[in-house]
Amino acid sequence: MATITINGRSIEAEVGAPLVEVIKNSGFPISNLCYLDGLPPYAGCRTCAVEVEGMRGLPLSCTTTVMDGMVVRTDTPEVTEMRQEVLAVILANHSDRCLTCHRIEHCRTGEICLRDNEVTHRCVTCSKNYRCELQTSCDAADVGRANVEPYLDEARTYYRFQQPEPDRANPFFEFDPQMCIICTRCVRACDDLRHTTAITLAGRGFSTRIAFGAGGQIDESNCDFCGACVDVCPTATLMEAPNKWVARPDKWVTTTCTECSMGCTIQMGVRDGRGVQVRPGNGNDVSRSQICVRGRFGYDQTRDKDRLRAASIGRGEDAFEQSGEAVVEHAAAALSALIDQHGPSAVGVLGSGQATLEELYALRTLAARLGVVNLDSSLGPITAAIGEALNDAFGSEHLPARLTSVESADLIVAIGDDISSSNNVLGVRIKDAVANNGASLISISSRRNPLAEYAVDDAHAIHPANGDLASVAQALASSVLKDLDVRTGLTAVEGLADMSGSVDGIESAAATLLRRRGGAVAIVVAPSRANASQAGAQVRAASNLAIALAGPADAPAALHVLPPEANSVGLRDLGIAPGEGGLDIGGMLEAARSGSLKALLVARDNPVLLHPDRAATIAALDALDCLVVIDEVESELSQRATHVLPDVSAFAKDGHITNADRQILRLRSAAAPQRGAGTLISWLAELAARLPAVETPTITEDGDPGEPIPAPQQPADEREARAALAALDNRYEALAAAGATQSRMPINGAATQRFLAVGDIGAPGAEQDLTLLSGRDLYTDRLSAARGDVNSDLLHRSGSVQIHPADAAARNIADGAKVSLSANEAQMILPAEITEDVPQGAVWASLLHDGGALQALHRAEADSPPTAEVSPTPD
Amino acid sequence: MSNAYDELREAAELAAAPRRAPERPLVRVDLSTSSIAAEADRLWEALTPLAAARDADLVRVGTLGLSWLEPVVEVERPGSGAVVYGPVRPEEAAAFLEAALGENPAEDAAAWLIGARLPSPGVAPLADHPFWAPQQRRLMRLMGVIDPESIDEAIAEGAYEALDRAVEMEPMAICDLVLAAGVGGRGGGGFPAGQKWKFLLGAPGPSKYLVCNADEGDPGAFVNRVLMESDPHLVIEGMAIAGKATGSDYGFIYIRDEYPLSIARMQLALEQARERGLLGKDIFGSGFDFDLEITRGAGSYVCGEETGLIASVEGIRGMPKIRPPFPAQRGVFDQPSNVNNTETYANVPLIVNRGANWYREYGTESDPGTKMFSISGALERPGILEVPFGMGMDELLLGCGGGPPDGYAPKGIQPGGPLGGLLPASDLGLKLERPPFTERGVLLGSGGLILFDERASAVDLTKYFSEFCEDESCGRCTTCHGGSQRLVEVLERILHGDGREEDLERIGAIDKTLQNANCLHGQFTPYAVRGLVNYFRDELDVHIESKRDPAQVAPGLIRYLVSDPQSAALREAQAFCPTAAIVERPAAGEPAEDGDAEAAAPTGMPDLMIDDARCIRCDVCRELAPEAVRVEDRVIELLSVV
Repeated sequence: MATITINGRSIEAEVGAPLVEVIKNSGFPISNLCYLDGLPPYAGCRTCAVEVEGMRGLPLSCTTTVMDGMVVRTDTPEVTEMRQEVLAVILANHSDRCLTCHRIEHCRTGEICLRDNEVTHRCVTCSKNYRCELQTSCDAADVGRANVEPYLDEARTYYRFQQPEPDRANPFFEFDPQMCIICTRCVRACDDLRHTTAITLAGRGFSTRIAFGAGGQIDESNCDFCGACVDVCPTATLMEAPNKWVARPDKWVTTTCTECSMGCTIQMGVRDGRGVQVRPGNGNDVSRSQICVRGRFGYDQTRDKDRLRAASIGRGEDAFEQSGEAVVEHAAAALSALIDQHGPSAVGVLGSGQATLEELYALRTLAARLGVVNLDSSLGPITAAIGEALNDAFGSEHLPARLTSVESADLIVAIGDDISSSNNVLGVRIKDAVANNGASLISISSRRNPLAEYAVDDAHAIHPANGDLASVAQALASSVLKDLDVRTGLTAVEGLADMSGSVDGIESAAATLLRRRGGAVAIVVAPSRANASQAGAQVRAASNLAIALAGPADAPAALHVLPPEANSVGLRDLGIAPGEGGLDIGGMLEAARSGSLKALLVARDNPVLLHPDRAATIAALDALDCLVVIDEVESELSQRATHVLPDVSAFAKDGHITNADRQILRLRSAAAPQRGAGTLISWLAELAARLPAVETPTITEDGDPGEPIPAPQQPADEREARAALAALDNRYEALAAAGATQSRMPINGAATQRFLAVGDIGAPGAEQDLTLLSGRDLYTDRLSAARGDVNSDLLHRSGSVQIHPADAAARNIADGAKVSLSANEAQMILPAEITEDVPQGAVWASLLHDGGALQALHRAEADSPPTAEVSPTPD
Repeated sequence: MSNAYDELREAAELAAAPRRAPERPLVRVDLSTSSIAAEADRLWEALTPLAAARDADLVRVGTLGLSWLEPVVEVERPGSGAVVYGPVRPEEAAAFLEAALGENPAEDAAAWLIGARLPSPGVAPLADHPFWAPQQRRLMRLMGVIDPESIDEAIAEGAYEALDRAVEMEPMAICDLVLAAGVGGRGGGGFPAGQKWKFLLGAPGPSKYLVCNADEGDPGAFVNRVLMESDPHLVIEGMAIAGKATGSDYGFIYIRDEYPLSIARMQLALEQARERGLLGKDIFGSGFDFDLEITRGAGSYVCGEETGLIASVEGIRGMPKIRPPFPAQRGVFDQPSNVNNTETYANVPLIVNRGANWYREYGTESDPGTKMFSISGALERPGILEVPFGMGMDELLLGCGGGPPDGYAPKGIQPGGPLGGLLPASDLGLKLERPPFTERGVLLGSGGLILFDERASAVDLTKYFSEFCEDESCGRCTTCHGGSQRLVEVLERILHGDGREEDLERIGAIDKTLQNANCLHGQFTPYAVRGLVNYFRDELDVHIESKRDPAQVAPGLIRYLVSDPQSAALREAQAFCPTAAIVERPAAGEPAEDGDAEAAAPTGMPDLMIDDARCIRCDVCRELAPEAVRVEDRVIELLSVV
């Protein structure tokens, strides 16, 4: 620690810290238009000059580091004058008339300018007004008020040239180069914080400018619209397009993003009860300053008018709106009658990884009260397969691995359809590890994605044509296990089939694994969300890799599993799974079709969207006597419901989720709920109050005997759910505080750590068929997809089926032509996108496209991805 | 001398013997960039069959430096010396060869004769030529004499002898030797190379890099180009010795892409050197490894700044970096590095061969040795030459260069490129070493000297140089790219006749702001305008106060008038006027506005006039019809209106 003096005040600071950060954090105003905290200085804006005793001239505080005894002044006349001069130089290329005007504080948007400035050149009409760092800097340097406007009467450069057109071609960003002061913060955010490198500094001298990609529109570049550049832009050059003009929030609420299992902390800016802006927030130590396009813009894609705003009774056309109370009453009566007549086994309950822990707890309590054991969720088979695999391998699915360790790993194996799409921010951390830490990355994915660029080389970016990621991982594990050193100390290896030679083209990846396994290892797996069997196999293979590379003791801490939904982990922890003798989702739908299941309560879940075999799902739902749907938006599911209860959005909710990192994260109510909606938990409580308790069961948590959680005697209300949750909270806290030894213990102690067999994928279908790969794309909004909105992917980047050029040529398919995919007696027609991103022999399409239409081609019980006949449509 | 070197030299001497002691006539054709621009390549084609027919050998050589006489041809005949001729036009090839290989070349080829490089009966020695006389050609010893694409000739003339010595020396001893010789950075910095090498030698790390700065971006500077085109092995040898001296085993030669011939010749030289084991592993069996690669620039001026150059070598945008860390701490690919100018490296073999005392025989205390200068501008004899430091600038520019042609008086000098500043003609007596230039607020720079005469406008030149600096600003510092814009705007305004009294103050403020820039590009940008204010103040004041331009180039201060409205040449020029400003005078009988139409001859054609509103002062009409167009101060017209 050093003691330095800033403007006469004594300040403690780290030796070597950038002076500008110390000045800022100590509360002194300092203009720093190009500096980004934590990154090396760029020293471009030259406005952070200060006076330091004993140093020549006016050094920049961003390039000066703290030394003990430094005496710094930020407010001498020389410093102020220099800052004014530099700002004047910047302003000459900016529409600056308001910035140097003493009347700015009095002006309103509609007023006539007394200096006769053009409307489009005024600060008061700029969307960044009052949020602009250039404005703040000019204010602080008194550029306007002190009447020091330099270059007075000069024909300013800004007004002498035709300014470039703003880029408003995409739905997310507006890029208005005329506002740019070339601070390159966006370039460095894109390079150093995101590793996307979509933005460059182009040209030089007078024509220096910021360019996306090759200088065209943003959506033509490789920009993935994460918005890191928007966060750092000091002027109105880069702005969020949605709500641009209203985004002057009254308040900022810190909450958690529920778009994927990362649970990134976000801040929602709220104006008049409406969310108008989302920015990254402090909390989640994995996401930190980063979020993705879904987290930033997803809030705006479903507006209140698109949400369910009234409870209703009756199916489809026959539905009529009723008060919530009446619908609850009616639904409870229908359920009671069915239970009375057929027993609780005729009723099923579906929860969702999109619900909070509190809601899931209330749901489970309700099911228990009714004696319903048919409890599951649409993605239940997948999360169950993941849990089963982990339990098999380690004796627990509560792995101690922390995602924060990914960015400091030396060797990373990323397994998943496309981690940079499904869990975008973790993709950034993987790139961090490669770019900043020199980590070696092996990427095993269905199709080429941005992570492939960060793999050691192209041989380390593996895209198996049959979509069998598990076999690739298993083959890699087998190859590593051939090394005697690795085998030493491992059990249960002998009986395992040697798969090392079963996959071609992995030799160099296997060599890298052996060479680098001494360092910190991270195996990241985002299991398939289309196929439970594959998901299980992928996690089993990943476990094997973890054990082979990190050794038995450290394997659980090296394996990172990214389940499909925000609260999938919480869903498993709370035991939203079939009870004793209960049916899983497949069983329930089957039973519904056969008539033995009469009623289904669906809480925030959507089997039409998420469960394979869409036609059968719909048939099952239609066969039900009673379908109670509590959901946020109108969808194919809600249209089939006999009772619909509107739920509020995740931004209007309080509660918690457990993310992939097993952290319990807080959801805070930021936006006002849509009119007519209640919270899921209140609907459940009201239902429970009207339903008879069959029995008071003892619920145990994930097979852990003892500490039964008593079911509340009173209807599950929020308060009790919260109290129970607090207990749960403590349990997680204890787990974390103890260094997650609870999960590690069986691994070190018992022989539960073992290698698992991974089945070979079934033989492909007809020879000319292509493997149909599918997964979560980056851009499609889940709620919009559920609504069946054709604009669920605003960029229209995922509305096509990707096909390899060779396959396209063999089938006479042109780029953009409509093609037909048929598999499992279902057909889907999509435009083709010819790309080498998919391996030859496979096609890729988004699972959420067209409201989950692709699910029709999948089968729940299949062991492998379907093979599809791909052919051009006869126009 | 190691056995390896002796063997190499012996073989090379054998191979080069026909060139060094020719038994048949040898015709050397200067094939360097400037001569190729003068069609030396066509001359070569024309000479090929002719020389073969006359039993003469045709040899490609670099340049002797006589740029104004390109294409230059030297004919060496057994027993009668070597005579230099020029300019030899391709279409004259047959006649020339006839005369030069004939009985009495001194008379028959007198039209082309320049002088005898090797004594030839009846021909004045080249050494007596005013361009040649004061030169001390050390670096240029072999230039224009050997074939730059033949390593044999270079080795036969002593190339790589110094490397052979150096590999047996202690690194520190080489550094000390170079330091004792006092060779300074030839890019203009003048920092002692030996000292810089010691920094790198002391830097830790398994890999250290050498970088050769051949990104010669200053307009009017072509020293490095000539070096690389005419004697590439000198640069390679210098870098290899520097590698030994600094403990570095790899180097980059950063050549601007505008020098394709330099790149080709250096590339070839590298390959040849590698073939002979002069680069690569275990050079001369000493265990010293060294190799080089060529990096091509992409046309950015700031890549000549050493950190900008390092960034460019790394393959990222060529922007000067923030210092510290300095290149010797963290340079190319974050490894300790050393950047020197091409000419700095080229001096090293001479020092290793001949010692520090020999090197200091010429030059001054602050700048020992010799320096190559490329002189251009308003000169009778522009070209490239090597003179000792400390020589008078007048001797170089007026003596060797012959001063401005057509009897115009010199007006000023622009040394050291656009960042170097301006000097008035009264400073022609300055000694060519750094201190007097620095005292006058300008830079001696890398060897480019441009003389301008009274026809040039100092204000316009300053605007040109400032605009160059603005265009080439990398875009990092707002003070640099924005400040230079402001500077250009003010100068443009003055040239358009809107100069104001407070402009001097404004220029001073911009100068001060520009000092707050990261690299020297921004900090040196105002040097030109400082020169204008300090040395050409009168001219600036005339622009601002009287709105007049004595040099008659400022577009806002002059107007073009027709002095011969019936000129046929002007009628032709009509087609070339980009704005169609040469128009026919509306109707006969109207009184002539400018009163210059009396001289018109009645040809029946309507009179021509220049529409001032359309005229952009491009000067095309005056070039095409000098007799019919004249330029006048606009202010006179304005006064006459009053």
